[in-house]
Amino acid sequence: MGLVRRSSQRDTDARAPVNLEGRHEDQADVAYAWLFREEFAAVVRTAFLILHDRQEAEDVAQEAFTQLLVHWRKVGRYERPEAWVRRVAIRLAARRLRREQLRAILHRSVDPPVPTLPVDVDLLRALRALAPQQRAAVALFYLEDRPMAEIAQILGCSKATVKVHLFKARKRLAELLGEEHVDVP
Amino acid sequence: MSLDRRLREGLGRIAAGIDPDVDWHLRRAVRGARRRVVLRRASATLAAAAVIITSLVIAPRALDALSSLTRRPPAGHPVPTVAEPTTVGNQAIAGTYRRSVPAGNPDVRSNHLAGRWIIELRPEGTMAVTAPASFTGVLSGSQFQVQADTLRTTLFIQDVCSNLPVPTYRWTRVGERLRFTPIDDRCGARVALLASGPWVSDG
Repeated sequence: MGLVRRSSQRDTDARAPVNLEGRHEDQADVAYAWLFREEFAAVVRTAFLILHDRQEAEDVAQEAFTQLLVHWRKVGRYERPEAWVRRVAIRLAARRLRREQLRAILHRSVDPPVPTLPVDVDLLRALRALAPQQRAAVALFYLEDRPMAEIAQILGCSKATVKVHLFKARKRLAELLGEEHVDVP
Repeated sequence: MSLDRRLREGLGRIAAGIDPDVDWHLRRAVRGARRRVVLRRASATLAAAAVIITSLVIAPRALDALSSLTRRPPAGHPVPTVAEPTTVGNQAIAGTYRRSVPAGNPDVRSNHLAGRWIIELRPEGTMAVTAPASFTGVLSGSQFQVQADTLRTTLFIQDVCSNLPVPTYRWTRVGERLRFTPIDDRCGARVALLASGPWVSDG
């Protein structure tokens, strides 16, 4: 469960770097390509749990990684550039979700379709009842298995706020799924 | 099953169904980022060019316009002061002069100009005027400017001859007598005062 965490050997990764449009690849390109391959799918999945639309999730992740490359000279020096790109993606996803929710209210649209996979459809539907930040906190905690401090850093809030998001999310999901709500430490 | 376990397993299964084409997206991200960088550089270049053009072409013109505004009066409005004093020219007629203005002229009568007048023309271009008691107009702040044989003055410009252009006179001095001949003055009262007879120097 969760993502394979990055090792510290980014620069010595054995995988071949992507051919960046035939340009000579320097260390920055290699590092960016490495990070992209390592994190892109995870960011798409997290965005999907916020947006519940695969295409939208891929677009959001794509945009976040494009912004990362534009600012790579600066962000690439950060200790955790993957936290930066997640933060951007989650912010974009939350903004897009709010826009979609408003549009749905305006047009009285039906719920977006759920994936045609053997998944817990009730859980997916219940997630839709959560606010964007709660969805993001649930995805980062349960799917990506990230510690509170890191979730707080990605969401740009305090650890206490993350705990509140998770508490409210669990409470709401327990109500909707008919499960017993037990707070986690 | 506990809620936590359901969440971990359920979300994991949902996520497992999301498997994007990472290399395709990577190429797209690289293309998109390069396009943005190019656009950003182009915008910065255009902005720099605009600044250079402004500083080289527009700014000097604007400065010229500003400085000419400070030199020229607004159109259609009489000049409140005479241009830069030419002390050398003013010196030619500097002194104190007197004359008595007769009451025959209608402009003299209507403006109560009749009587004894004294003008002191100072080298720096100021003009001290002493009028007869019957005259009630504004005299303070009057100035004059002499260039060669012409004189311009702001005398009466604040009330008796308001809203009219600054007049130009030709001056001639013979001995103690100073005469003004109007070249361009639309104000009859001023012509009657300055040019209807000679001004006699106090010596």
